Amino acid sequence: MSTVRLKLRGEPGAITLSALGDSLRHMLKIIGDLDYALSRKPGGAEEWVVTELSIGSVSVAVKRRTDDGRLGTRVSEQWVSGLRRIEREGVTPPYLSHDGMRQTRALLKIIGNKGVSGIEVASDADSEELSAKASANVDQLLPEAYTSIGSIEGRLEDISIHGKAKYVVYHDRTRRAINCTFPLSQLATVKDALGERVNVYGIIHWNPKGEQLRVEEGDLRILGPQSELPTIEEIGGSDPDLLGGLSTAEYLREVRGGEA
Amino acid sequence: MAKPKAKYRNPYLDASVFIGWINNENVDGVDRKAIADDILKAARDGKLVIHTSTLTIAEVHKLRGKPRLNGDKADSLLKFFESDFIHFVDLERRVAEEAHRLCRDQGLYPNDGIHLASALQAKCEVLLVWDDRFAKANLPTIRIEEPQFAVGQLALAGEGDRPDLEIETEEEADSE
Repeated sequence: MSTVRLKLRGEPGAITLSALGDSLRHMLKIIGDLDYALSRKPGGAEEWVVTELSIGSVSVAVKRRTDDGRLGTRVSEQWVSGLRRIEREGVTPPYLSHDGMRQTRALLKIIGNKGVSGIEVASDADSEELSAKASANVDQLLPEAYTSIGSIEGRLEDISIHGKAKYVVYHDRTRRAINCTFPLSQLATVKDALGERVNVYGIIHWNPKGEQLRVEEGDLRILGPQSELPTIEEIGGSDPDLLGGLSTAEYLREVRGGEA
Repeated sequence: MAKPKAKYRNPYLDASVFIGWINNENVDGVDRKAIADDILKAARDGKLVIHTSTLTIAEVHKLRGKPRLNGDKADSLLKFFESDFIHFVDLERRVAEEAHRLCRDQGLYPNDGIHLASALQAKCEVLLVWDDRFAKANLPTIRIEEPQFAVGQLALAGEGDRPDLEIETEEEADSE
């Protein structure tokens, strides 16, 4: 089984109990977020159990209580690779929800405080040292910078009516989690779309790095299942008279401008 | 023996690629439909990732003044563009602003600027187009070239219908 590790670096006797408590709480939330996104298990993530605990620099390792081996590995890979992307590239990693990102920010804010000089995250196969740079980077990923009207496409996998009704769409390409709010009157439509690939059209809120954060009051449309869409074989060459005798170059000059 | 890699990793397809493909074009002995077939099938099979602008959906259409696409064909095309292996870049503010800059700096027409800006936004390594409209454009971060077989010619080498190909994951590519 794969383990997920967290190490708080600091001098003996310097790391405070509250730093440890806060770190473990944030770690649990982040792992739960990844577990939920990757397992697609309704009702929340599986329980994780402590397998190692050491002091000095405080180190804790946890693993899934039940696991076929694969899911625990994926969570632990994302645990390291996701935080590495925040540290090194300053981008939002796949699968972490907005709440997961807030927990990540809270975890990273412990660096330099309460006796913690650094944080290392690790799996069985990989590790990453996190610094104050990751903390600064994540500050750029959470705030909303501007809005536009547009759409997102991905799989609808989570519905919540606690507080403002919302669902989460995992973006087709980036697998980032995007919150979409909706009026309760659309609940039946949203429930029908659970697990489906959807297009959500509405006011998109972006972060300063140009990543979509959420869609406000989005208009939801279920995209056709791939098996029911026209195929490449059916569309390719299907209209040899599409351009009415023009070449593609001539057609583009007609529609976009330009000279022969 | 190392598996052969797909020719492209993350190409951007200009609308001309879809047009030549649907139009069954053969220009100067180049079978554009066969090449586009190959690229699209590679995307469908997860061998590469393709992006295009939502503008493409509007551009792949009959010319004004020519007989219209009949309703079934138009619907079929629109449904095809829902395919999960085609990733669309919305024409939103950032893309439009970049297109504006490209028109000014690279001497492009607005819609060409939108396509190039969309390709840059999607971090594509190459923009594939069947025309020389982008001849003036010269950017260090993206190649602009005519489409070629992505994997099909490798399949002709006798490895069966289609050899297993390696492509880099987004994470691998990003770490380069």
